[in-house]
Amino acid sequence: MQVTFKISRFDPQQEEAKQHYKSYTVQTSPGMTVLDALNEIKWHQDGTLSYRKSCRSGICGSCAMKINGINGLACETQIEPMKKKTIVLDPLPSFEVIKDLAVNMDPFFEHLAAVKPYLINEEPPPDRERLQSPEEFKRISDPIACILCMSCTSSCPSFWTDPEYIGPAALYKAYRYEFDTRDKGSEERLEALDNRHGLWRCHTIFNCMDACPKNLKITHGISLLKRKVIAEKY
Amino acid sequence: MSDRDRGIRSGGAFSWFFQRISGVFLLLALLVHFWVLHFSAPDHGEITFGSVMERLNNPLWRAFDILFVVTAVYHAMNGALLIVQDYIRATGLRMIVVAGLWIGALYFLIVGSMTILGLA
Repeated sequence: MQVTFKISRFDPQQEEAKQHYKSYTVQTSPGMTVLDALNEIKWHQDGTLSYRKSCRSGICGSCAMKINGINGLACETQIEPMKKKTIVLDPLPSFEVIKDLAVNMDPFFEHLAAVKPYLINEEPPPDRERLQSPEEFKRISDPIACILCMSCTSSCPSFWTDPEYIGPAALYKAYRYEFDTRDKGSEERLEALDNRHGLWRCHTIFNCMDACPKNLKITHGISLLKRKVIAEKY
Repeated sequence: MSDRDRGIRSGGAFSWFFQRISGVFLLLALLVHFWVLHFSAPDHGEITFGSVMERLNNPLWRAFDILFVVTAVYHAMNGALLIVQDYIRATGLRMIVVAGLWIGALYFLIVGSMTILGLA
């Protein structure tokens, strides 16, 4: 099957650099992914094409991009089941494009750092590890599977309108620690969560859940986090 | 305060929480309001000016109606400010729209309250 890839191109080193689309035709085979096609283009057709990739197994989160209008991982998206003759590839929306499909991820990681995404517990550690029951772990097992690919945050209309909004990925990470029975860092995280660029900017639009390549219940987690903050405050 | 926040101070935990509480109150109050004003006929089988005035002379009903107006204006204003916060990025236009919203809110608040108190 022959598929045309219409790829967003942007080269900042060119004078009057402008975003435009360039088309490439790739002969696909069953099981071939969008990342395979990008590699085929870069290695055999146009070496100037830039995109991020690493594990090609849906674990590293590097190759997230907009595939036919929906954010997802290039390495997890197979071409033939899409049944499209043309596939349009864009960089993740709302982030500054460095080149072609690669975006500046710094704002994303700054927002993530703001929610202190690590265990905070000043109590002296027990002799063995800090134990959790299987039920307690189950509450946080979903957000632990997040690979920080940015698909959710860059699909969120609230983030499109407010770059200061910390976004669903950071909020979901906050949920992961706030609902961890071993964590005692609620107060420290509250500053990043409880403001108009934090939790309350989420209007439960559900784009994040549509985009998440791991099918995580992000909006659900954010809603539980809202309830927790409200219960603690009022 | 960044440019994006200019003119709007809502959008925190209280704004989110009270928007839900006022929403539930408005839903119940609307049902009561419609029932009392349009469907329930107190004594002689139909709603007349006299029966409405009689109800409004009760200070509890007046308090309910004023609470209804205040909550409705708060709920609408808070919701509109959140929409402005999301959609209007130009500072100048945002200031104009927010000012317009405040004028509208005050107008409805004053006219609504005056009507309730003035009729009785």
